[in-house]
Amino acid sequence: MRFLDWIILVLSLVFIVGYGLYKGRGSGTIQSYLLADKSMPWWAMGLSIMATQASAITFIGTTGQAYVDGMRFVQFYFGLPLAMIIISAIVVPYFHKARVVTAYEFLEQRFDAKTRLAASIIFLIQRGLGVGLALYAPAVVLSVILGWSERVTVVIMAGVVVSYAVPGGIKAVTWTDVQQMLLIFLGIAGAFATAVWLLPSEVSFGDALYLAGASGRLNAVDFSLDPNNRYTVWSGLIGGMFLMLSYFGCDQSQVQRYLTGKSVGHSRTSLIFNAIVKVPLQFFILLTGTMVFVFYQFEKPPMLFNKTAAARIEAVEPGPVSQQYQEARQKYDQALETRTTLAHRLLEERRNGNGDPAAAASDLRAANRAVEDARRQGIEVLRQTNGGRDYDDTNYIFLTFVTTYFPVGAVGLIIAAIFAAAMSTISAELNSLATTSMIDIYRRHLRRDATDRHYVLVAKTATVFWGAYAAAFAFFGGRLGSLIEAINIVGSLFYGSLLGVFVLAFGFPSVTGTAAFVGLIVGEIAILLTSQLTGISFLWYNVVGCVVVVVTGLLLSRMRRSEPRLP
Amino acid sequence: MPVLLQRPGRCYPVELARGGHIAMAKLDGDKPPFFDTWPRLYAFVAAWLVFLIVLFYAFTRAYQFLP
Repeated sequence: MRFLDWIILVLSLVFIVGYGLYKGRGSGTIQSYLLADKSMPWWAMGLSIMATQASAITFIGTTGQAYVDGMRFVQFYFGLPLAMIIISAIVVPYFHKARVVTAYEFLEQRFDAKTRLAASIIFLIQRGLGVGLALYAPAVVLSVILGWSERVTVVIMAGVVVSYAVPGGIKAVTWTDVQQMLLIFLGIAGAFATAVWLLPSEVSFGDALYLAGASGRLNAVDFSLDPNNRYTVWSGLIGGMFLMLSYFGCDQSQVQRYLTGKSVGHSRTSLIFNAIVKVPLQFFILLTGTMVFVFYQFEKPPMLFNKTAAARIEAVEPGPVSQQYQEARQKYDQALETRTTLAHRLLEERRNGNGDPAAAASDLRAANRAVEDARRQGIEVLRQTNGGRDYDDTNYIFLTFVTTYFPVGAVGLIIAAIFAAAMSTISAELNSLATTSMIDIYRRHLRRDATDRHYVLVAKTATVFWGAYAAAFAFFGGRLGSLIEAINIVGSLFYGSLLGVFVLAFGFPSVTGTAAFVGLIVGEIAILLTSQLTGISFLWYNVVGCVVVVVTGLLLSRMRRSEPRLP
Repeated sequence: MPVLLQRPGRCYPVELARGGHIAMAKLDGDKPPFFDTWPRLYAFVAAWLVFLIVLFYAFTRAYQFLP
């Protein structure tokens, strides 16, 4: 980072805080602080919804994913437009009509207090873990790539978010989300343009696509029916749709965005905006990662993208481990040279119109496999030195590329976009956690007759609490080690059963509160068993959980109706 | 200790069901941008998704290099 990069980053942070404070003025009532007086236009909500979903890891991880695995991750989002249609047509009118502040409040109107409490607690646990990770994960990557202190990065991110989210409430969060999403758009477009511009002069964009295709990186669509294959059209359309229904229909961090709409029409339009823009946007981000992959066909990529890990292994004293690592490095360097030669040959044959493209592509893929094998060998040596802990540097690939090759100014823009992506997610999550804590727990069960002023104060205190909690989680995240991955998986285990309860609420008038509550518990057990006993992709957990909750709820309600009534 | 309200057998609230219909009726006047009705907009979104999948499929096939 050079002086101009710092200027861009600092100015963007100062502008976001100032803008958030300005737009959040006059949030003195519950309706204003938590629902923006239902005054938001559709485009602001639409961008806010998108910004909330796009975390920093989405930005840097998705590009890294394309580098490692190609474009197939785009299929994960195929279910999103379908989910948006369903939520827009069914869920939004009910939430608006019920005049609720949280999605879980609706569950009490429909079922009972215990179902609402159970759903609220599930949300607080799941989102509480999520906000910690949303702060911790980018802080780790930025600290390694830029050499910043992890704790300073955490404090800056959390401090900036809390400074506008606490006084301004949802108005500040939504309007800053709009700016942040625009900055993210600019960052993505800038990254893509620069990645293409950095390609060798003799390599056109068409050549780059040709090379990426030959290396098997343009695999955007896969119609195979294998349930263990994580990303296929079917897992995206069905599993992805259930996941997105859960996220946008039952997760307060998203529901609260579209509850601020001026009307049902504005809320619906904000969701439809997402339905239209999200898939092409993800395709574009993945294509940027693919361009990074093509770039590294002609430039030497580091064997380990995590600089700290690479420095650690290189500092190992001469001995068997050091020798194994050097062997892996030599093998890696040779494989890279072969790959570059084959890439040039493939393009030359393309230009001259001679040779056998399929055979040349097959050779290039073999060379890519050789590079990956050598890299894996190096990673295996690294694992021996760190007690067998897994190593994954997918999130470091894009930022390594940016900080090594991007011109001055562009680096600042990308880092600012990553900060924006992190802060937009964290602010919405803190806001929704505070809202659920206050509305579903405090106001419902602890103090029901206080003034608006009191409740706003409680909501602000809750925002500070959740911000401090997220920072504490991020501070001690390093010590959690592999637990982080476990926490990430645990987070994905709750959505299916939550969705099942909402499906019962909207679709089955005969189901009682107790049946829904028991269904929720049984559904959660079913998801846990599925994750432990089968190897199916996590996208299907939501389908399993939802179906089990719905079937259990319906069966229990039917049994209750068929019981003989006592005189 | 919070007191949980128990309302056994509570079913679909009539006012909510009726409210849902009212909201739907009101939405007829709350037109979506560029389209006359919401179902038409939803049909467009579904068609857009199909178009993207076909486009991505063509993209995948165009660069597959099968022998």
